[in-house]
Amino acid sequence: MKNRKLVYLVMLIAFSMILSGCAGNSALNNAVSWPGMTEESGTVYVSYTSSVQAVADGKLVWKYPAEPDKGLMFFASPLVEDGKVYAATYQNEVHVLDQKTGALLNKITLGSNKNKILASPAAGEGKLVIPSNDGSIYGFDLNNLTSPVWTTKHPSEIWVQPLIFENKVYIASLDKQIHVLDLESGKILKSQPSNGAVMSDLILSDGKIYFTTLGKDVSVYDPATDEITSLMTAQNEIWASPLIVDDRIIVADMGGNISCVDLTDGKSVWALNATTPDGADYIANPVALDNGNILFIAENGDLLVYDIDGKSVNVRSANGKMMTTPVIVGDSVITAMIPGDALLRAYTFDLKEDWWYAESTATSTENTPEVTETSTK
Amino acid sequence: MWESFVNIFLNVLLYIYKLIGNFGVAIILFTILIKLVIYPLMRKQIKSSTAMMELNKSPEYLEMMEKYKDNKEKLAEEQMKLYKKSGVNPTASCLPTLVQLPIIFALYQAIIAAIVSTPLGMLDLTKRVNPAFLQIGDIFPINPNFLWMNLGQPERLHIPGLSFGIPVLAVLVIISTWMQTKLTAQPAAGGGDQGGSGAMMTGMMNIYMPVLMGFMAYTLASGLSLYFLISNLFTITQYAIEGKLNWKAMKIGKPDFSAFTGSQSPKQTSAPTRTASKSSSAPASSSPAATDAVEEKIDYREFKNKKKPKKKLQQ
Repeated sequence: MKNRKLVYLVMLIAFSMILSGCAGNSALNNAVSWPGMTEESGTVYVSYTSSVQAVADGKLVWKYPAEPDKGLMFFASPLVEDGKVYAATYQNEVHVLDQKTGALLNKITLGSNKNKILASPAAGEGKLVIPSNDGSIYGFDLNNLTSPVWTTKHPSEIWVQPLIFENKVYIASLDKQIHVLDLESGKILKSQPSNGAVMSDLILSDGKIYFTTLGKDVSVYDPATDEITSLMTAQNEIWASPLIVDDRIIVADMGGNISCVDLTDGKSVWALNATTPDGADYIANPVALDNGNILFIAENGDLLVYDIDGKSVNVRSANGKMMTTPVIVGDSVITAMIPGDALLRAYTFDLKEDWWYAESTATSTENTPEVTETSTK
Repeated sequence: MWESFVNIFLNVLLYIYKLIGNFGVAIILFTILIKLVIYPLMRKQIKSSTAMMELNKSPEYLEMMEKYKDNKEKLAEEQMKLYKKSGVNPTASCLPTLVQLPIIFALYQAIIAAIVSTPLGMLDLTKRVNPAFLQIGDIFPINPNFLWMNLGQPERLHIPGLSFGIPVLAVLVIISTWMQTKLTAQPAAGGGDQGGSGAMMTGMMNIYMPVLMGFMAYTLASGLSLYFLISNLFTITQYAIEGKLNWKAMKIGKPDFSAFTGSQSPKQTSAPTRTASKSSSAPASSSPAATDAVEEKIDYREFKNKKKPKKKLQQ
């Protein structure tokens, strides 16, 4: 009888543990993201999981924090401004680091650490703007980070880096709105609906702001007239930002359809289908290479180079998932991946491997690249 | 395979959300939909339990119990023969419970998958949504708020002045689970030892199930707690419609274990057992006077440990 009682008890506990196990997995899925990456003066700053690392030419320059801190998670692309690196965390903080050494200079804590900062902070015209999903947007004076100059409450989450232009802040929120805030006061000057949630960066080109939406729409916001104009509708949802090259806008939707539209007359220049065999999404923004070609990266790690007329130039695959927008450093294009055999991989413009960098598992210290040297060239 | 199963739930849940525009109401409607789908199974369970109860009180069954009381293997064999002859499936009542387990797991994963809080979660959601069925751009972002709850987080009601949140939904889940367990308690199938273990199992369920469900409601996403609550209320309503609610079991401090005593009656040996009154064709609950009289003689502890009644008899 006692055995039977024990069996019932074990069954109930097992049921509870299985369900709790589901919670754990889901929480994990919701807790991680892909690396955030920024380039400045030949150095790549990459934030991923519990650290921010500065990598130059495949070698680690510094790593922050020096000792692993599992209580911190960095995923938003670091902002580099005036010799400082601003790294936002999933703990609602922004760590201000010395650009050269990675030493912690300041720490901005925003409300409860249960909230996250998903989007990169933005800096410009003497101000630092931080969107938090605690329901607020914070405006700081770049010379005084002790307390915000203004705080603007916002009902929806912001996943996209704000854009500062002509003393205004442009923000795309998940509730399908484009907001214009006064940079000095944080006051919302205008809010307009967008046709779907904006998932990637707002692109400023020639005084206009271009963006794509999950509602399959490619639109432009004209700050001069405060009007949003739809430029085209894609076949599928769009995550990646558009690329503006001369008078053309190039867009890759999540289904692998790539379109090029002439901005002067709105007509399609070319369109192609770059669907991968496994139907991978296009999440990373396309980038223009210095040789005039365009690089597209599919989520499955496929790299595709097309010329400006839509002709395929090069294709290769990387061993890992790629959702991070690549950066250009000299004659190399640097990609970040998860989970792969390397954190960063650099390729030449014709997609030959240049160098790779794998995050060291060894304990590192600030500004001691010789300790964590793990790259090859 | 499993992910496809979860995705079906996810798509249906999101489709309801698209129609209603409220994720909490979508979960409630989805729960009702699930319960309606398994309604035939539940009805079969109720009927099966009733048939078992009637069979356990039949003279043929009581005679068999007495005849093979010292040979449990033979008794089990004869019981199965009798069940087969009477067209009763003793395991039928387990099926709806088993069916609900994967539903609970799938619903939980669907809720968590729907309420995304990071880009990676969103990317995962776009892959799970069937584009022929739903356009993710139309429904994203999903508003997880319902009343005072965030359905993707454990529920707490924060009252000004209190430094802690009150887990209202967890309390409601505990109460409704306890009520459901008590109100829908059916007589244990089988006799002799099996009846005792059935009683013991029911007694344990009365204690452990509300605690377990309450613990899960306290720690897991409140969307799942909402499912538990609505599911419990629906089950109670269903039993009420079928006229099978055991209201007597709700007496606090004086539990009605008449349902379990059918297995004891064949012994017909001493005070703690029910005797002639049990062999009447009317259900125990329909004869309050007889039941009450018997209840006074029954020591609850004897169902916890079957050796105890003997001690009581010796006194």
